[in-house]
Amino acid sequence: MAGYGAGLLLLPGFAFILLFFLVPVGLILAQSLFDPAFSLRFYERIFTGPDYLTVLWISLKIAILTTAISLAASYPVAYMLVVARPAIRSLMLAFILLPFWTNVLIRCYAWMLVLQTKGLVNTLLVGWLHALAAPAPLVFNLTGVIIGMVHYVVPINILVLFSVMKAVDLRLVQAAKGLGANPLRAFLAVFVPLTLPGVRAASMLVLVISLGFFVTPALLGGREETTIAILVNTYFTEVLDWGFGSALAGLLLVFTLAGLSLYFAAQREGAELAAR
Amino acid sequence: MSAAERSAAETAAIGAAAGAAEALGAGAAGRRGVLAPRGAPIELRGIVKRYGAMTAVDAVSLAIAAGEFVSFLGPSGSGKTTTLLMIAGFVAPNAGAILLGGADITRLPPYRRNIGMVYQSYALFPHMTVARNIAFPLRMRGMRKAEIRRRTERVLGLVRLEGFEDRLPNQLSGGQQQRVALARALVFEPPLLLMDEPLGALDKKLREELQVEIKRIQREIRSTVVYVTHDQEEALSMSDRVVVMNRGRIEQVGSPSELYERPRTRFVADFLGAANFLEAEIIRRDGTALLRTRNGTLLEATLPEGAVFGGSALVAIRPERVRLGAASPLPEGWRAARVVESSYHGNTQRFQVALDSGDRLTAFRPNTGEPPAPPGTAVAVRWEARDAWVIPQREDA
Repeated sequence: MAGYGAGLLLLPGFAFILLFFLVPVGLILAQSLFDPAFSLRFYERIFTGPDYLTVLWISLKIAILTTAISLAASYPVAYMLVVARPAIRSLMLAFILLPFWTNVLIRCYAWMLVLQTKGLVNTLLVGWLHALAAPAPLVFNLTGVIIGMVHYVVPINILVLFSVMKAVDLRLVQAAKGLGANPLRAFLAVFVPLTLPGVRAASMLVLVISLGFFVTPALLGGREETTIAILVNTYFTEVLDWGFGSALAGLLLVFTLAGLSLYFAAQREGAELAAR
Repeated sequence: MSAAERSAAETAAIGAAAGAAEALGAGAAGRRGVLAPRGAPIELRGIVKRYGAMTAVDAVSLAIAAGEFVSFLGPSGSGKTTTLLMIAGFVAPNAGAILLGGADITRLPPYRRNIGMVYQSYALFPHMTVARNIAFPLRMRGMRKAEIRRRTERVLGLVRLEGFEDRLPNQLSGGQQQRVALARALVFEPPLLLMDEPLGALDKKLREELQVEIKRIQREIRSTVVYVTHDQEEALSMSDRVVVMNRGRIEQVGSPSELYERPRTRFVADFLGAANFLEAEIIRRDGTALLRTRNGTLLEATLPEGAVFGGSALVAIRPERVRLGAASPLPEGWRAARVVESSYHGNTQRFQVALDSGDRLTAFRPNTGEPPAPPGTAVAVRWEARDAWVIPQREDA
């Protein structure tokens, strides 16, 4: 009975989610299941059609590569944030968040300017340094997609890792040194294992975000980098086969929810380890 | 018990440890040496640590003998922990030198110093089992697996935690965690063991239990121990010598009884136990001194040897040395006084009494079941000249 008042406070938020998220997603999913009677025809087509599984694989490959590279780039930065003095840390955080405030479309076009055949990088390598004989293909292919995606997810990755590393007791690393571990071994034997739950959580989040990402693969990729998100867009706006588009979206949703549940499980584990 | 004896037998059988003990001329057979006894002397030569304008440790010099148990005692911010961290190598001194076993270790990184350390927070690795925590320093030294297992077993016996190998630290009580931390600090047989308020997080009963335990282990392994605490009872009961620190400096170094009975400064007298302080004028001196307070109380007191005094002095009298008796008739050699306040402390009754001159004293009386004396009661008080101690006044005091 006492919970009634508190429950009422949730009502506006719940109504919003219901109206603007659950209902539209429900409608999409319904579209994928009714044609006009109930049928799994669209889903069947995904798994039997010629190229859909390839697209799924490409989406996964891009997401996994993005996750791995962004982890390698984010982990040292997050560690530096933890050990930096407060003033330096604030400055670092400002620079990490700066790209966050820039529209993703603008960032993609900026990358095109930098990476294209007559772009900044190739001009530098071919024209000025003569390091290459011909311009390297850096954009409208996998390389371009990965560069753009990593650029997009690294700030998120750093912030999640930072929040986990902050909870690690650095006195344990000091104690390890006192027991005879040199700085590298103390880091590898004590600090890294204690951050592993955070690494798992951050990686899951980045993977989920990368999996459903549309703009970057669409703009910086070529024909070979067609992802599920691009395919969904194509079926909705060009082919106008909303039923099949919805089924593809449904599949993406399943992958995303699976990733998210792994993320929360990893977070819970991390919280338990930190509470020890 | 039997486990410790068993491991002692093992040690003797291994031979190497026993040989080392004999080489030191310590007579390994008589002692139940579990780990090889090899405490090393440590010397601090004028070490200084400044943080900006604040001097945390100010020219501290001290020589500690091999196998000695020395406590650093002082209030928080007195520099005792900073001194310990400099010995461990986690804090670099701005000046001075640290010598361990005769070798200068001032610039050596902590992982090359081979010093065991126990922290108040235990600092056990939460992702490793008890056995892996203890094996950690051995693995860092590249020891063979069989040797690691043998040593881990031995040291677990020493701290009486056999059977806990596979537990994680969070599955242990605070006292057990501290034993694991102690085992981990001892397992590589460091010549010096540092302990930074190791019992600070434990309740009183457990603390007293572990004090006895730590002393037992220290006697067995004969390691040199530097122990930091702000608990004066702990320092007095465990140490061979106590170093009292205040505002980054050593106030006094001495055996527990020296410090308690013959404090050299007001700070030491005040910090260790309770004390009555009377400011008085020296009016005669020969062996003992005769003094008179501003209120006119005349008293005899003991003078420290070799100290030079001006006209005035500070006399310290421990409250438990002030005896209380019946006021009428006033016995020979006793002073008339009146109870101002009394309080009940279980094993003692504590009184504040005012002498006829107006000087006030605190007196502790063991609770022998006598009825309490309420404020206003006339009493007789007495103390001996040997219990009134003149504290040398320092220039800067």
